[in-house]
Amino acid sequence: MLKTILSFLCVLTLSVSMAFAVSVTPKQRVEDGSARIFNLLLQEEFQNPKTRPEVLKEIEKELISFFDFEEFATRTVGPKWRQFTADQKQRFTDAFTELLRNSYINTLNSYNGETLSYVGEIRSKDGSKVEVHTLFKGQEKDYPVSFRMLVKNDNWYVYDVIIEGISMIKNYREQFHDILIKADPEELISRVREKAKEKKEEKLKK
Amino acid sequence: MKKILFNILFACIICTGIQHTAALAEENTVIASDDYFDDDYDNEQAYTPDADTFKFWNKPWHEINDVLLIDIAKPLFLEYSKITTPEVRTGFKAFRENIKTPRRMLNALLQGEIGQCFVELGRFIVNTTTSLGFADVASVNNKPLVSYTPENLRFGYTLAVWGFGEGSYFVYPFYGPSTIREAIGSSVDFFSNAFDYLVPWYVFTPAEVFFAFNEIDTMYVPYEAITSNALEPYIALRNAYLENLYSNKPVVSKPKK
Repeated sequence: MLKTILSFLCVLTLSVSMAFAVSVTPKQRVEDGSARIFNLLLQEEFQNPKTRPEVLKEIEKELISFFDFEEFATRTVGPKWRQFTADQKQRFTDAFTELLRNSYINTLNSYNGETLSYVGEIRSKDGSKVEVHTLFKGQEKDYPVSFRMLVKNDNWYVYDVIIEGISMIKNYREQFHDILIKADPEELISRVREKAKEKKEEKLKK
Repeated sequence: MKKILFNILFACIICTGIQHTAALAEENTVIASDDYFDDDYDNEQAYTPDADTFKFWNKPWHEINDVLLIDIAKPLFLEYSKITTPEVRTGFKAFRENIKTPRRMLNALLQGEIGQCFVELGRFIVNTTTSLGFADVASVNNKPLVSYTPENLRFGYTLAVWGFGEGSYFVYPFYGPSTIREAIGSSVDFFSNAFDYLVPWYVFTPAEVFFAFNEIDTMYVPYEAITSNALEPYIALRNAYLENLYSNKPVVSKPKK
């Protein structure tokens, strides 16, 4: 009898801790993650063009540990993801990560001490997903920014960013859906690659 | 031995339980409804692409508007911003907002927002008497009693309050993204600017065009932010416009049972 109870409890503990054993709260994760990136941006080494590439590498590391690019890729493609071969999935994820990287790395240059403050959060019933609401205090205006997060490897990862009600994933998903009606995965991958390349060249020009 | 193990397990459960409730009791946490996270596409059925009945009309106009905004208005504005200071531009902007007060008051009334209506009246008196409307004096050290939401005081929003759906996406020629409801709204707004009736058309028409041009940067900056990283700029803009509109829809209280 005791054995049954024990094993039952064992399973219960395990399942409970699996869902909630994440040691940080989503709030801490967002505050910590953004503070780290903002700190790097404020460093003198970032302002200096010579040492800048190194700081950029650090920032990229932080971004990779904060965002889940695989989830980004999967969700932007949506149901058609299942028609992608394993190889196509990998190449698409790489190309899309590259596109996001090249698109948003330029915006870091205009950072000027803006801050992100926690407002509140919406949690799914089972606690596996959270939408953290924050306010980005800009130069002239404040922007509501939300992070959708999920648990992976005992930590919270961002899988969507919503700025002023516009979800980044949804926006790309609408575009990819439109492309995939007429084209096959290969064409989508090459178009994402092309765009990523275009953004990179733009970056060099500036 | 078993007893110890049992106790440890028991303690574990209680701890996780406490941790769990502590997290939930955290400030400002809301538990989502069942379908809240559906649209992030775990659920295939939950996904419907944005409706676009008038794509045949919208897409060509999108291309024309794009040329007008990016290739014509933007370079002109960059030249214009060389010969004007930000203060001058803000002044014109404030003046334009100020003379639109009657239209906003009308919409506040139609929406049943009496507080907003009085805020508008108060702002108009303060701004007009102090600076003829060229400065937004009423917003200095602003700690309003009623939260001020001028962006909602338009006829498109009034229609939404009255229960009209947004309708299909619609690109307004020379103006930009809209929906059927918002297009009807902006047309009504155009004709409910009371001050326009005080001057002849050949004065207010160029004036409207100038005022719109004076703050065209508030259009092309977000426009470029949305379209420059897009593979399909038309789709990206459509989605961004609709999502933004949807996130700012009126909260209509449900009728009590």
